[in-house]
Amino acid sequence: MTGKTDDYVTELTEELSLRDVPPEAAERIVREVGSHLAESGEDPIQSFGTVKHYADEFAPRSWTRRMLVPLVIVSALLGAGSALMMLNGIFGFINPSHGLWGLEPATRVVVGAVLFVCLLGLVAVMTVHSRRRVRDWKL
Amino acid sequence: MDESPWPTDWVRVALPGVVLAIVRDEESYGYLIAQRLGAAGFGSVKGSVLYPLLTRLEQDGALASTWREGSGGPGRKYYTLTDVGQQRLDEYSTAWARFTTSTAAVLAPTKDAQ
Repeated sequence: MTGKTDDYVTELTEELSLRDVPPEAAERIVREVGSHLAESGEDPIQSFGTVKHYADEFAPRSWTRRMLVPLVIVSALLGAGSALMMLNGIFGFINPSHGLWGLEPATRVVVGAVLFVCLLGLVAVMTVHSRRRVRDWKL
Repeated sequence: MDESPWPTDWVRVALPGVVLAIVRDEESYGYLIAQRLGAAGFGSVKGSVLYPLLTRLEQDGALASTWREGSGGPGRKYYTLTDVGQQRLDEYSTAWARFTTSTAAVLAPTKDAQ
């Protein structure tokens, strides 16, 4: 395969995975693209369109795929916020002069725990959604 | 391959039946089917149209497939027609014949027009 074809099939594999196409189905789809391009010598974009366009033929973009960047940002904020609040709360118990926004140490730990639960909830919802899409995938 | 002389919509509608017929005539893989379509006057059918259709027909049980490794290449996925596919092709052929007959009858100039 040429470098262009290699790049195309690699990108397509990732895109189908992000769209929750079952791995074995994605492998078949990608392999067939590779087979066609190897045999025809055609340009991947000319024959199959852009990776996103071709992936659209097999799986529409899920809300998790569309919102990937915001979800990553929200997850990072929840994780960082949770760690900050909990650590600050623990240090507050050790050293009462260690304050944060005038909150009691116990309050900080509870807020940190709530943020952590929110992060777990978000990850759980995304995981369940992804597994359902993989299970129910059909053209 | 040349561009199709037919409107894209017509080709899309005809494609499932035509693909089933090509596979019925000969165990085929994607690129070969594309070549057969070109030779039959359907022009250059893009991979972005053909392969999702093949996948759909396979999921519906109309086609079955097996991978055969190539020498040094990525191999080929060969398609064969199943009983379900044969039944669907028979129905399609009958319906298509009726449709084209009806269409031709309407399109033919009437005696008054002549």
